Amino acid sequence: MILLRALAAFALAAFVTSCAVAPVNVKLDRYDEKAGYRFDNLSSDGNSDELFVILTFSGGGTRAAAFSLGVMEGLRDAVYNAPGGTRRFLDDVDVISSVSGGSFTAAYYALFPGKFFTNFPSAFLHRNVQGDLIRRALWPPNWFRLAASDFDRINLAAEYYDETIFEHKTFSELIAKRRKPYIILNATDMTLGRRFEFTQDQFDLLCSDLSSVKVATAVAASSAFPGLLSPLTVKNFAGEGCDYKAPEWLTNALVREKNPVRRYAYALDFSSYQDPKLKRDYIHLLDGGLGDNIGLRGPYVALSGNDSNWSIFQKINKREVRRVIVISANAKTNPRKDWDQKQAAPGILDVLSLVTSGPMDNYSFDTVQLVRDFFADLNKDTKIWTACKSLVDKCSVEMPGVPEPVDFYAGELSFDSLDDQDLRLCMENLPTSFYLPEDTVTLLRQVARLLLMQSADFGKIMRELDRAWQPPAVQIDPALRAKVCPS
Amino acid sequence: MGHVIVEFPECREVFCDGRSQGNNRNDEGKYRELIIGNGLHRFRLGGDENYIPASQSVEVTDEGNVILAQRIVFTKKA
Repeated sequence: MILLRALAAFALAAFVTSCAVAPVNVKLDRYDEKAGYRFDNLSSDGNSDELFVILTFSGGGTRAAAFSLGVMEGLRDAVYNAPGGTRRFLDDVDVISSVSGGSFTAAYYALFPGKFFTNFPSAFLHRNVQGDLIRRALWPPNWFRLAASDFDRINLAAEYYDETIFEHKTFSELIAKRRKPYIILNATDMTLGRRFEFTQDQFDLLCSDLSSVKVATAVAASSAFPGLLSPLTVKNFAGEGCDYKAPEWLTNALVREKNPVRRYAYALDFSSYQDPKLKRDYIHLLDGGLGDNIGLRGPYVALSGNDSNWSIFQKINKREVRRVIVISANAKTNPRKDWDQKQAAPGILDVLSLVTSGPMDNYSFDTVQLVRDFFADLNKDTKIWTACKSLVDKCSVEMPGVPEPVDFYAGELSFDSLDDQDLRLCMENLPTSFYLPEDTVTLLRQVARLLLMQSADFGKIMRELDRAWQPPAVQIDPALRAKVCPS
Repeated sequence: MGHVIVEFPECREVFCDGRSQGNNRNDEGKYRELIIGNGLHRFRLGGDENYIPASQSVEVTDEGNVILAQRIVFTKKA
């Protein structure tokens, strides 16, 4: 009798939970280029575009989330004298673009700016997230749900993040806040192998309304590491129509012979969601790190052209921007390898680790270099024009046009910049997981702040803003270090 | 990336692919150089439609540099 009751209760629990599957995204009634979660809909609120700051947060599980929190703590403490009084550099941040582990930090900050620094560690960093996820997957009623075609491990993860970290918030909350920074949570479109961002600009292409999507779902997609978590599936409603009107840049960019290959390819991918011939009724999303593990590719589109809805060129042309600053928090590791000391070939796990992380690391390095070189060229243009003008002035001749003077800075914060070799090796050998001991999390935060304050690029920016600025002292706690990194 | 000067006798707002890029001239009346990504773009002016052509599709290239910008010319209707 007791067994029968237990079985009945179990079946009821399974039935109830299996009915609780809500769609990830819903159809957009009517396309409106002015509505939804877009950069232009966020209020400046004292954050002027004149100083345009972009942060990017890399992937790397809890390690990346803790590292990016440390960077934000450093930016909070970087106070400078501005014309209207003292300001925190953190309040100047306009955009945060993140992938995977970094997306937890970005999303939590966007949703809960007031309690971010006090609550984020306990809400996420100090949790054994992967242990909790395994326990949820092993809870018998969830077996039935996982057996359903519209519910998978990623949905279970999203549900867990929604309940325990993001308090059931949807993107409508971010729209209502109308507050910068603009958060770009990046996943990877499996079919295209390219970035898919959780913004209304992207969801317009699916004729879908981002406002009802849970932030936890976007974070789950952004951190859906292949193999461990299943892809997240979103419905593409483009076939049902929403009066979507392709932006003019897209029509122009699709003329193959009149465009650089990169712009044409980007436009082709962009338009694939609306192309009925391709029958893309469902879009499957994986970890954002597969498409770009540093979160910098989206900003690069905005930095290097006029096509993005928050194009920096457009802001420069409209005289809204005078300084552009990109700070990339890259929590990449470089685990010690002893392969070359042995005759035996590396095993299958080593090979798999290399093929999953090697190309991502190389691509991230190239992206950072791409932005740095691009900024160097832009800064050089201003110098060339000024030099040329000084020559032309002597001949009483006028220059044909006047460019807008803008300064560009790009800095990357990563463990390989640590002067202390032992600490660097320790950080570079931390695991990628959704659980790290509290001491490791605390040390990562201290290391991130240290790297920020020691960064020559950041120091230069701060002294441009305030000549008297001195970096606050950052100390690595020796006892903590000895505990996390025993020699 | 190309540098572009949009010529017109008056100070006018310039639109590239439907988005404002600010004015073609600065406060001193000198031509401003606009930064535009390489590729095909459609340019038009804001204000009175007393100019020809009504719009121009132009391939912007990096041949238009900071010293010698690419020129896009609009003429006032007679």
